[in-house]
Amino acid sequence: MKRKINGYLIAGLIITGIILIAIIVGMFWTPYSPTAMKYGRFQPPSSSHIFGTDNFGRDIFSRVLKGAGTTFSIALSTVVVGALAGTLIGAVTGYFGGLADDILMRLNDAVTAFPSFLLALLVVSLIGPGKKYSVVISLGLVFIPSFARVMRTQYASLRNQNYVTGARLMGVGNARLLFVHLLPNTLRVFLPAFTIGFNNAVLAEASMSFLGIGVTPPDASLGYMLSEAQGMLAAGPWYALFTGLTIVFLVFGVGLIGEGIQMQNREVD
Amino acid sequence: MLEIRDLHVRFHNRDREAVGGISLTIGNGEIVGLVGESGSGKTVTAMSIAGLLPRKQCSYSGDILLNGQDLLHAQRSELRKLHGREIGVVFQEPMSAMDPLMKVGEQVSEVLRIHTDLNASERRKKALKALTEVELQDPEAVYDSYPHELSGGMLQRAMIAAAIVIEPSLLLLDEPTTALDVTIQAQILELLKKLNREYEVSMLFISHNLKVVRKLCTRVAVMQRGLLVETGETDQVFYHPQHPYTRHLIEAIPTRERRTS
Repeated sequence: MKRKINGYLIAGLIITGIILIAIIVGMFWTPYSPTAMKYGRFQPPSSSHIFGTDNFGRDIFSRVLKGAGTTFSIALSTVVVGALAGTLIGAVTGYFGGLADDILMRLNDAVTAFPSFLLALLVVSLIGPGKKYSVVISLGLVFIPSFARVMRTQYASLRNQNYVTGARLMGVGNARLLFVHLLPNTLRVFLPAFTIGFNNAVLAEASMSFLGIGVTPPDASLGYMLSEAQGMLAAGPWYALFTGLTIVFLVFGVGLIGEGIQMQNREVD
Repeated sequence: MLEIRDLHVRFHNRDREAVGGISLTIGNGEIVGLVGESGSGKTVTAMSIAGLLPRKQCSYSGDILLNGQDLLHAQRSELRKLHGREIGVVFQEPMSAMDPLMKVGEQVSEVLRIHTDLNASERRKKALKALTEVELQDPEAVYDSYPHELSGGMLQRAMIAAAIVIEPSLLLLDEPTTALDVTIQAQILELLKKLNREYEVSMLFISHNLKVVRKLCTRVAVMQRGLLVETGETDQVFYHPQHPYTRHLIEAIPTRERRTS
């Protein structure tokens, strides 16, 4: 059966694809060295420096390429950490219910009750700020509860399906049942949740770096660059503009993918 | 083959016993029909056999023996080995009985993956044979289809294939024809009869459709309010019903020639 793929999904994939290609290129090659300070301060965008230069005379386009890579990898690892742990918790609590369900979900509620950003700050300061992995761990931890809740609902609704009963009757083991039979059936909810989580992670990383507890120099992430750019809005507004736009496009593209998947699901229903 | 002795099941949140002490034997190669209205306990009986009773939420006593092995009180881990190997199940609603995201053929051969040492190509071969056995037109194509690509009748055939692929000794059929239209219903019944002959598999056929039961079953057991009110050869029960409830049920069959005598 052929299904029409909707415009949101295509647009999202194209935008995200372009950014991904830029990121991959940026890993191996940038037009100028992203850290070299010799291109003249506050050069406005021109044909040689298409995003202009900053206060130290660094090429902003090169920095954005590198920074997008950092932001992307941090956001992706963060949401993977959250999704993995959340799925595990959600599967166990949703499918088996009982005491484990009660304990884990109350724990979940407790974590949710804290302002998530505050919790992330707390964790970062505990494991030591300034490293990439500390951002990933702290944000990942904050992301677990929402995934756990979403996946729990999915598993709880699936466990009474006839085919699950049938599989149990065949003697399918629990692990295989949960992750081979049921997991694919949760994807329609999992994938949109994953894209939303990714976007939240991009924004959360940006906010943390903006506050100076995320990535530290010489690494640059888009959030960190945005916080730098804030000090020179008057002298070089293009710095904030292009960095911000890159974040917007990244989030927009992935958001479109999530929206597209959801629409696709609705069409199937 | 299968022997149920004095089975009692009571759910903790109910006053009345769901099953109030029934005894029933299914011999080798027999097709026993279990009939009764909704809530009469026939599904709970089937659940007890299949090991699907929510054990923590009910109390139960009695014995269910399959070829001498205890089904009612056995450990879950032991049951897991036994079920699937010895008992195949076909549900009422074929659409929901299949995993929507797994190919039909893989679902048919899944039970082989768990209970046998066959490798992938042997499993595929056996699954294709089972799909042929249930008289599906193009087994190869069905093997590689997803459930939504098949009709209800085809799916139910595939479900039956999944139930017999490992050649179990007992098939539990929980209203397998109720969701199908009458023509398909008749075909499925013929198919079940054929499988019964060829594989000598015993069947417990749960239904509230007496017409279907009469066509298929060798013996009939009638349940009402958790009790077995009548058991006997199909003709015996249909032509000379002893219990008033049975008579009542038979009178309710919408046919031109009522066989109430």
